[in-house]
Amino acid sequence: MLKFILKKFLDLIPTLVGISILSFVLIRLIPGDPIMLKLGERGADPAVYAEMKRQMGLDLPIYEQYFIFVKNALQGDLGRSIVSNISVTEEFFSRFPATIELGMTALFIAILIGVPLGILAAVKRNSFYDYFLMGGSLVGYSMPIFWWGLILILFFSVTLGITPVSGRIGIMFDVEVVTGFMLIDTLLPVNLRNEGIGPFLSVLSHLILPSIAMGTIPLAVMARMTRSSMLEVLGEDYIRTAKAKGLPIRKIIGVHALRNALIPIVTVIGLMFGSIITGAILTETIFSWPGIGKWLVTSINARDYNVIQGGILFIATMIVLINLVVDLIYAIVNPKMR
Amino acid sequence: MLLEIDKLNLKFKTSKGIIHAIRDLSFNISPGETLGIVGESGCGKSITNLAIMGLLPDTAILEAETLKFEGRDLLSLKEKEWQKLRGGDIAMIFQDPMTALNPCFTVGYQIEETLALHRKDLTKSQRTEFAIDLLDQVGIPAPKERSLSYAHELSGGMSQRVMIAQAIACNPKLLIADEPTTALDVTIQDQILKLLKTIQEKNKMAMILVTHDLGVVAENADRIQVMYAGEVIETGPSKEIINHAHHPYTQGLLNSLPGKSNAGFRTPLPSIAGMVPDLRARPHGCQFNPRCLYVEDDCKERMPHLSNGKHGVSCYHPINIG
Repeated sequence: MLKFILKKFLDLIPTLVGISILSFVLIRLIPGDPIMLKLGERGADPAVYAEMKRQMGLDLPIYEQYFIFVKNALQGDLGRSIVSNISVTEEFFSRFPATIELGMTALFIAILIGVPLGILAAVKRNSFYDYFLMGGSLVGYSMPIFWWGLILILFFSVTLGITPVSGRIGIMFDVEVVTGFMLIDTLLPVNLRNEGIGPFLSVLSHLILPSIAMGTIPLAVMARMTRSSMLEVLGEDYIRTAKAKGLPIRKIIGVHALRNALIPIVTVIGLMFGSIITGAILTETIFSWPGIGKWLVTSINARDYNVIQGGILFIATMIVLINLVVDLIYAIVNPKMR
Repeated sequence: MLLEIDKLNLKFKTSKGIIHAIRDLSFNISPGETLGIVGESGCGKSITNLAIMGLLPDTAILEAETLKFEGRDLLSLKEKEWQKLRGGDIAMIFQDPMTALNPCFTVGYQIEETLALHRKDLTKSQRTEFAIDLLDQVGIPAPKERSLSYAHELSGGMSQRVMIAQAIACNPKLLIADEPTTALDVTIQDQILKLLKTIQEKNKMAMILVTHDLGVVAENADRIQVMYAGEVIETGPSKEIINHAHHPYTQGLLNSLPGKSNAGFRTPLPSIAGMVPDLRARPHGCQFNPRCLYVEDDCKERMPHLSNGKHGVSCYHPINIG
């Protein structure tokens, strides 16, 4: 097991080298210039421009810039944001909890609803319910997040007026941030004492639409995946054995079949973390969610090189680490892997 | 009588119409008796067992004049009552033991589960102990350690022993063994059959032993019933059937056993030409007539019926008589 974990960590190295080169080069290929954007058209004095370029090290050849970046990164320094002059690490970690909170809620919704729906579709195969559900999941899967998010806002926030349009918490609440996860922070004794349960409910109502927007595609994938995995398992010999034992159908499906069907589902959940981050970029932009998705978009618009290469490196590391955890869970779920 | 079946008919709804899989099947089993059911693949052996277990797929239509277990009418059983019967009074073991055990649970757990369903008097620790005892009874070495194994850690023979342990856990009155040795090595086959025989005698249970190997039933069954295309074509005491097969199909099966014919080494074994008929396009008259060596005109016109008596045969021109 230790060897397995070690090997996964070694896998991390080539992944990160590749990702760092790609993000480093790609952002520099986009037309535009961070200094020009910072100075603005009016302040484009060639002397100031040259001075700033030198200060940021952007006058050096690109390979030298890359080596400086790697050298600093290895020492834990990802540089400072060109726009705000705050360190990239600090900016990342101040926004990361928001994304995780949203992503986890979305994934939670996807699993909690998608898996049971998939099981039901498999058990009632070829029924009206099955067709309806699989048709529905195809629609859900095909819906672009930016469109679906806007429709949700239009209906629930604008027409019905029952949910807020954007942000993480109502502006009238003054909550002390400790963990960065608002669902947790609002329930901390200090905040409960000062503000009551109001902030928590406000956080929930802010969270609901973006997590639905973000969770719809994973939910559809989950439902389809569970259905096909379940159908395969239900045809297995050991299900017949379970029936021959006299087990009630509820237990056959909930214990014997589901346990086996979960094996491929766990793998898919792992892969979904990647798509959660991509989803975050769109969702956070639409709902003005102060997470890393929105941060990256803003930084790309400002050609904030340091933030982009640093941020992407962070995200890549996260995804690889999460997949490591998923691989470990997989080994627990599947006895053959032990 | 333990099991009484009279005029059982089984049909399947398919997209291409209705298939009549089992036609007028009748047989009985007394307590403690072993009945061997023999026939090629697709003769309706396994589906008959599933009917007795109440495990037919939704597309099946089951009709019977009598289908009784210990005098109880199985046709009118509710699902809850079936669940009590399955694994309790009627247990079953299957062809491929490697896939018949759930790969995600230890074998000990799977046996305990059966006990939890039918032996409500046992506590959890008693169940664990009993499961280990059962593994010991079926000849598994180091049963305590093995009870914590998963199916993929066991060989085919060991898996089948686990299946047997699970099946006999609740002292069934009838054990249905559906080709229990087909997927195993020949040496292991013999061990498993001997084990079944021992357990059967010890527990005084009746057994239906399904196989396509007449050699297996010859040694282990009291009576043999030969099935072809969903019908019983010959039935009688094992010795009678093996030594004086009346139906050409039974004779064909016997001839195809290795070592039975006097042919020399490396000469091909005799086989029955042709295939089991497609149940959607059954032949006219006797179902076996297209493949029969002794076919005459009347065979193609009307269907023969199983003759009464101890050794019954469904043939107009039986062989080996007198």
